[in-house]
Amino acid sequence: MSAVIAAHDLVKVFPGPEPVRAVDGLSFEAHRGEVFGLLGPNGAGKTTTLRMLVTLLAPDAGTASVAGHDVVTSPDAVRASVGYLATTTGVYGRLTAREMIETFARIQGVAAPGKRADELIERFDLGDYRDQRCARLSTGNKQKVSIARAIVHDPPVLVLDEPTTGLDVLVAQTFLAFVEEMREAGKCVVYSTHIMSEVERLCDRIAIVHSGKVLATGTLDELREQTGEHYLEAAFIRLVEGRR
Amino acid sequence: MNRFWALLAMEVRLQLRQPAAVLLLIALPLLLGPGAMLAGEQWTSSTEEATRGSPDDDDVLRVRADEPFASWVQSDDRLELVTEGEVTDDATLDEDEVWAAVAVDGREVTITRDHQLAKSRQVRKRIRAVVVRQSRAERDAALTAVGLVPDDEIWRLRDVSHDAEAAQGGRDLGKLLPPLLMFTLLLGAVYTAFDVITGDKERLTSETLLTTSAARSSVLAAKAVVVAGAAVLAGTAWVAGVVSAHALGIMGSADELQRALGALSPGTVLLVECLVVLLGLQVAGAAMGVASWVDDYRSGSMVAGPVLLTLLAPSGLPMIDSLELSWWVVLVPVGNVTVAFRDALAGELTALGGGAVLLVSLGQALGAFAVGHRLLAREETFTGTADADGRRGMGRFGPDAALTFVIAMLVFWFLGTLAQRVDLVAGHLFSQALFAGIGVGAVAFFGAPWARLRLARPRLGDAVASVLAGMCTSGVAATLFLLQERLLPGGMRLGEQFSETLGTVGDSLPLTLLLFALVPGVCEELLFRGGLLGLADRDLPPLPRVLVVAAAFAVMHLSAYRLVPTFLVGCVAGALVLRGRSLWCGILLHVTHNAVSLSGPALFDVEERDLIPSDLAVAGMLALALAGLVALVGRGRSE
Amino acid sequence: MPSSLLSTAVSYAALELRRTLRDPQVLVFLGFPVVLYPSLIWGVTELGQLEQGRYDQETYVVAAPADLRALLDDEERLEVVSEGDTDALQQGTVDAWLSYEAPADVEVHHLEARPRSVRAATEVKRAIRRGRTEVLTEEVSQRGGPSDALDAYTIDDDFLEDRTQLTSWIIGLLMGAIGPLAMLLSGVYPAIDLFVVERERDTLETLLVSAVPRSAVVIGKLAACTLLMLTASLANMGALAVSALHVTTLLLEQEALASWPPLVTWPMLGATLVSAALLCASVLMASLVPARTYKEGEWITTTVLFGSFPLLGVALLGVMSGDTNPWLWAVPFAHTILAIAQAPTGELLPWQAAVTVVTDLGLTAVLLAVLWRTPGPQGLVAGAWRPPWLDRLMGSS
Repeated sequence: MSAVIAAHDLVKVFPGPEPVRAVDGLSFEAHRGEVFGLLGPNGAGKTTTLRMLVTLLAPDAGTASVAGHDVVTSPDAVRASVGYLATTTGVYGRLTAREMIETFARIQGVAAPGKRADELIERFDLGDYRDQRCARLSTGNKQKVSIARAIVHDPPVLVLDEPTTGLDVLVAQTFLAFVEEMREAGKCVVYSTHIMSEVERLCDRIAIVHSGKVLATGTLDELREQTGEHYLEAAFIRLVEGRR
Repeated sequence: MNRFWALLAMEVRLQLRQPAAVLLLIALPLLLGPGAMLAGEQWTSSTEEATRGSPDDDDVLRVRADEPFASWVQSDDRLELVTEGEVTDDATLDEDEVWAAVAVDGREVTITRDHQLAKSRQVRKRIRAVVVRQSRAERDAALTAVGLVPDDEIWRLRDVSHDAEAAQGGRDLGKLLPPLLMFTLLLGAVYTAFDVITGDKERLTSETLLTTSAARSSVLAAKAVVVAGAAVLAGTAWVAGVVSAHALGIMGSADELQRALGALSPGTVLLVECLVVLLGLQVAGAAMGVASWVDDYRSGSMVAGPVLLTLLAPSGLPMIDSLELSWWVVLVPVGNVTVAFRDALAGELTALGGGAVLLVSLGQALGAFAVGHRLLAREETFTGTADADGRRGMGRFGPDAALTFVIAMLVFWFLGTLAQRVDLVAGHLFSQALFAGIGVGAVAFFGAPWARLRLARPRLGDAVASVLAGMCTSGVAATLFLLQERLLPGGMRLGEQFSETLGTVGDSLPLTLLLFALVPGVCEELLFRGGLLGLADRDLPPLPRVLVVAAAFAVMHLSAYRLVPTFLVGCVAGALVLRGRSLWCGILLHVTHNAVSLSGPALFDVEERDLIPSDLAVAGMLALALAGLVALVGRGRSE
Repeated sequence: MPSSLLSTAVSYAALELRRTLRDPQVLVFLGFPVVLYPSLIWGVTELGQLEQGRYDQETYVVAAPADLRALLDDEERLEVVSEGDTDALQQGTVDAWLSYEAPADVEVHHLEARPRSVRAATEVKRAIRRGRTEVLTEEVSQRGGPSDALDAYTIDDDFLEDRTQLTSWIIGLLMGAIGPLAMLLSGVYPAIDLFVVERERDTLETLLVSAVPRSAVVIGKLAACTLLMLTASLANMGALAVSALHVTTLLLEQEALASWPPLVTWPMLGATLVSAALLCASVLMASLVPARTYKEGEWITTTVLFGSFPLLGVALLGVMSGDTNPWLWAVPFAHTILAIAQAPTGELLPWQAAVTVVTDLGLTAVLLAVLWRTPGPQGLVAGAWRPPWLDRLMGSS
């Protein structure tokens, strides 16, 4: 199966007292109908990697392609193929829920933006809040609006960076169910998190990231076998400490 | 294109959902226009009254005077004469005090008074009127005594102005409007820019927008249109306020204001609106640049104030009556549009002038937008900027170099120039020592490697080439001065002024060369080509670095006439220092240049003259020689 | 105030000052006037020199009838032609034209709206007067009259103040205009920083659950704000004063730079500035109670700034006329302007300084007493008084 996302030896260096190699030769591939997890501690380079994939940052070395488009030479096409959701992507407080979704449908070039907005309002059970300004929505509903905004153009790829941060248990569960639905729909989902339970539930394959590098890649069973540990947390610790 | 309209619609909707912004863009300017003009009119008449007294003031003012002045005074002069009394130094007049004392000695009349008091200025006017009348009376008597008829001999000169009726009023309007309008435009542009751009970053909607498939340029263009539109809207509301208030007759009664407002016709209003659009674009571009540069609203406030004050200043240029739309005015942002506007309202704007201003101002506005575009799209928007330690750790001291220059200029301005005024030699040496100290001190303070000063000994050939280059630059600079005289007359006076300043020091050539060739050659180079050039090593490529430091060097000399020749010398010095890898190349050039420039007038009788063609030929040859010498320096150096 | 509360407040004030002054942006903002005034003054003086240089080289084309041509032919800066009228003037072929009606009426035709034409008219009038005076003086001499028959009396001003005192007076005017204004303009941003920014960031909760008493926090913030406003004011006044001194010294060739006010003026001026800064800080603190974000704080304080302009105008007028209404000394902000303006010439009287300080401190005390009752120290730190219409106005609802 050809990769929808392919990253080869990505490098990103940030200036500092000693230059920080946030991403240091990272490679992975993700496919259609798959949830690919990026698991790692804070500062591992997950967010930087994802930002390179969605063209917010340019790699200093290496290559990456999303849905067949190079992130450096065809950034517009890459963004047309991606839905991005992160802790740093908010909603416009002065727009209503429906306006937020419809506006982004227009911006993304969706053919019938109004209709699509209504579909997503219904899909995410936001009917009672459609005309309420986003600033006044609860955290959970804001997250729903964000998700709707991210998939309004039905992208083949979803890039999700710690999307359940700050959500309560119930809302988080709803979100995880949505991710599973996306997988069933044949999307390629790259899911970055440091919450083990989410990885165990969602991810078909996992890359353990540490210090800007991928330490190991595989299914949960493959990682267990590789590390001799049953629980993912233990396997993760073994891999990270082994690297240290 | 559809995406652009969707983006634009979203941005407009977001702004309209903020009633406070709508108030700021429409309601406040509507009131601010007439309010500011009324306040200005009130202020002007009040200050006039406060400083010079009201013309209708019937107070009789007491003065002390003897003959002959006492005999000159008539009853309607409103002066009460006494022979004794102290001149008062406060606003109240005691019984034994007077406002002024008048003494006449031959043809000289001396008025003793306290200048700080408005009444004393008033009394001076009255005394002057008496003196002028007396002068005329004596003159007429003298003429009559020799058989001449004063009315036939003393020519009466009458001014006759042929301006079109609205021209004078138009000119007044053109002077009055721009500064007031600028303030409103700035309010509209700045607040909107910060909400639309900086606010996006703070509210975490920047990434949401920039990760859509809309092109970056569309996203930024939509924001730019909103910011520009807000500025223009605020400006238009302001104009509407003024026009409406004038139509309703509530704009006060001062003659000048009424004359200015009387020039408001449909055509004039259209012209005013053009001004609003052009200025609005320039202001919006600047506001966007600032908003794109900063990371949050707070930073923006700190930066915006100073930057925007800088824009407000040129809007006052039309108030300088004698300033015309010359070639350099066309290049000044904001100033170009406002001066052209004033001239247009006065019927004095030529097609060439108007076209030039239109092109240049639009270019400046687009340039500002382009800078904003570049700043917003850079990666630091998402990663944050490296802190000072991080930057220095990578050997980048560029901002530190800029700070060093600012400090050097301030110290020179506040201490150095005043010290020179008190004692030329001591003050000059003090200033030069400051330069050297700051240049070297900056390298130490910021922790840059000492090697950045490039104090290594030069190769003999490079040293000789630098000395020869100094001779060439002296010749080229002299020709530049002559050439410059045609564009900016008055620069030739500098030599005379310098000689006067030197005084007796200038009588000794060795001393002059020591003080004004050797000392500056070393000290100024330590600051500019040593400290500044060295600190900026890793921030700019060689050519821009040399140019920027040369520009700083030129500005330091605090003279518009010396800007270009000094910039040239700075460029050559910078090039020599980088190529020869030694500060001594720059020092030798600078010392030689100064020495030749000073010795020439001292040793030879050089007269002021106009540029002649052979000057250009000689300068051309010297420039070629200079280029060759610069190319020779550093040649063949092993790595 | 209990000493422990005072010492806590002082420690907290030191913390706030350190936090604020560690931000390079604040330092740049406070120090910017030190760059601004010299730059402006240098720019204006250089501009004046450039323009003067240009005018000194200008020659003007003037059309004159035969009777006047002889008078003007030797003038270096005038090119005299015989043909010229209003059309030629409009087209720019001539800069001015003259008409002469014997025996003594000359009309100088020019365009008032064209500066070059105005300069030409001025030059030609000067030339005519000069030339005519020479001719007449010669005529009078030939007829046996005195050679100075046409000389007018000259007027010389002998000021009570020496030049240095005049310089001090000018500087006092400038400092008075800018000092209190700078206190507000420059002090506004540190004020918003201290009182509002905490509400936007996560540090507020940390602060409110700490052991630091609320009142100590408020006093500390107020003290820090006062100090910063004072610094801003002094930086502005100092920079403007030295820049103005620079210009007067260089251009007017003063023998001494300026006169120093008597020693006793300094503590009076200092007390005046401190009390004014404290009042300004208190007023800003009160006005910022409803603000939740930096942006709201800015909008609120802009309104306060606009309100201070009329007071500034009235006070400046009083200073310029040298005749101030005594009641003005009881008006906040205006009396600070007067005190600053009078200090450099040593004319600030003890009773004036006393009234200023007492009024400012008294008003501050009253304001703080009211604020302590409502919204109280908690409200002053965390924000209060937020009417629903403010949310609607800012688009938050």
